[in-house]
Amino acid sequence: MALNSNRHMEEDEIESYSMGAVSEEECARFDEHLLVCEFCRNRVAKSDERVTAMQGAALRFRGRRAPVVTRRLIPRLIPFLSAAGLIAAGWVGFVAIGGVRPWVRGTVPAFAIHLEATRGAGIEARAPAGRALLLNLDLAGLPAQLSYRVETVDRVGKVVWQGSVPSQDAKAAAALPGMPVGVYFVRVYAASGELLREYGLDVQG
Amino acid sequence: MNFETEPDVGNSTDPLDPTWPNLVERIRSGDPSGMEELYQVFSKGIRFYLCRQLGPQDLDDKVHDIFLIITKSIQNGDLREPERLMGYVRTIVRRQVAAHINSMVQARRNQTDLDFGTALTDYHPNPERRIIEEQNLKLAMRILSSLHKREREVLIRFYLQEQTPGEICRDMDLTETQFRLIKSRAKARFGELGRRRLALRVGTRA
Repeated sequence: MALNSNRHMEEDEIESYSMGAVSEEECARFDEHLLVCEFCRNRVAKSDERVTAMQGAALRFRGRRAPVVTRRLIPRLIPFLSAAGLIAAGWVGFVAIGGVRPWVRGTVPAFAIHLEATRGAGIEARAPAGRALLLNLDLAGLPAQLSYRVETVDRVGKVVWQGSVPSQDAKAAAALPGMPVGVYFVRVYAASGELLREYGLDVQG
Repeated sequence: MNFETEPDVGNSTDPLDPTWPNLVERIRSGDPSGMEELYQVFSKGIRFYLCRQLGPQDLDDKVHDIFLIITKSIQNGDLREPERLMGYVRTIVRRQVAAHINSMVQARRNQTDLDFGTALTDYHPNPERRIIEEQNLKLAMRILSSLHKREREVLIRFYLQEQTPGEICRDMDLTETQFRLIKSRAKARFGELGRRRLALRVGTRA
């Protein structure tokens, strides 16, 4: 079905466009419409701000750690801490005699990062060092493929991780192991080996 | 940015009437009014697209370069279907964005080969913009904090994990109406808090 570029964008379409969650055909129509419609450009700009803020806030909520126990609380927690200590000792004993190895599994959830289309040389995405990462890649505008090859290199171009990730609706997610502090670049390649996109990632201590 | 209530789409001016063949013909014949109109119609849209894709650096130069390319290619007769002018402009802009990103990747590679250290440019245009972004983030944090845990989970799944409404409704046992309500409430609250913040700022200045 041919899409009409002269129609204003619906609210849902605006938000989907902001989040890069539109099909290639829709994206073309919206891009064309936005070239000539100031009204919709203003709406997209507002939506971009709201979506960015909501994503940032959601990320902070997800990444929140347990609150630090204050000194005043410690005396009140002594009985509970003692009980917890006993349970922990029992657990360690169980592990020592051949039970499960809990540290083999990641107990800390992966840190999710949303990587948007490269904006020049700017590096906006930040992640904590040493923590498993879940990279959500925005592939809007790229030729549609069932999967892409993703490569992560450090600042001198040394490959630190690579793999193939399936894509759906111009999105893909790559699970990476924790990395040391530094600047990294995540590159997306087509099956033919052509470099399609690059994202910057700043891993901080 | 202002947080005014979004006006009804139907009340706004329609996008330009697509009398593209006439415009294309004038550009082809070298009529300055044609080039002027082309710039008037597309410059803001191209600027907007470039800014979203590449950030605000050197925007004027990039817009100017793209206009030269568009004008030249139209004059060379590369645009075969004048009524598809919008699509043609979009294609050229997208190619330029891709070329720019490619050149940035190459430049970065050359830089790291020489071990000059990695140049990081800040895409934020100015400190004021950064403050606005921080304030927006605070608003969003406030909204998420004020929500019930389950409602917050819905928004986190939607905005962060980018699950589709269908997936969220299925996983969290919600109806589509419930999902829409949670999202529209958060959106309205964001707008309301933003308006309040704007009013406060104006009041402080006055």
